[in-house]
Amino acid sequence: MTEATDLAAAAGSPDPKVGLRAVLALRRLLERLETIQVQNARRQGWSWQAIADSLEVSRQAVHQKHNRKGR
Amino acid sequence: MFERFTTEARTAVIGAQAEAKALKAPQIGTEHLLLGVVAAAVGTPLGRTLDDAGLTLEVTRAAAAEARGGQALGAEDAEALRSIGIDLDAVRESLEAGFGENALDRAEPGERRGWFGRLVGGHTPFAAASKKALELSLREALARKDDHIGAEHILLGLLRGDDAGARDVMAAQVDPDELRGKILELLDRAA
Repeated sequence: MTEATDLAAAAGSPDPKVGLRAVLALRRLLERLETIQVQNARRQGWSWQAIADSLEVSRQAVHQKHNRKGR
Repeated sequence: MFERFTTEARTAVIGAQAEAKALKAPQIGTEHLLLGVVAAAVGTPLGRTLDDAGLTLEVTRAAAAEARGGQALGAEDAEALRSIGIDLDAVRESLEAGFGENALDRAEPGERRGWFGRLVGGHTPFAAASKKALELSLREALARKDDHIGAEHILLGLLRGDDAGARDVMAAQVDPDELRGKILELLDRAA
């Protein structure tokens, strides 16, 4: 099998161990990506509300998770 | 289960928490548990065995920091992402272009904590693999009919559990089977 078909096979893997590991990695990536982009938005003067709207979450959720002032 | 732990084993578990916190890890991984054991064993027969195997406190601490600290998303993550068609290197490059060197690894994820999280603030939970290793340490003790769980048993539990965190740190220095043999020998001698 070529490398490409190996990968294609893994993507559709019914093995939970493989599939769940991909979910974990994706979540780690997501969390970091979110941090980078939220910080960037704040630096550019975006309000918590505007960031929350873009992420389709509540203002409280994004504020609680990312506001590091006063800690 | 903890009532059977020796002072040394307790010190190792508490030390693991401190080490994880110091390394800013989100969870107490098996590499931190290993680090706790190594730190607690300094000056004991187990400590000398670990030193001989190359697992000194300095080496282990550096390796544990490296395990996840250097790159927030490790080789295993990269491989898992590749399996669903995501090229982590490409993501890294794109972020570095926009946000500077190591942008991805520098970004510490936000914490989902409400008022309760702030109340109990700073508590670092044990990773599932670490809990498993502690459970296995109990089983190792039972299998040997030892009436206590020492730092040696935690180490056996870590070896048995074979989680990547501790395994990678140990395997870089010593053959796991060889280490296991040495620890069993140590326990036999003490018995």
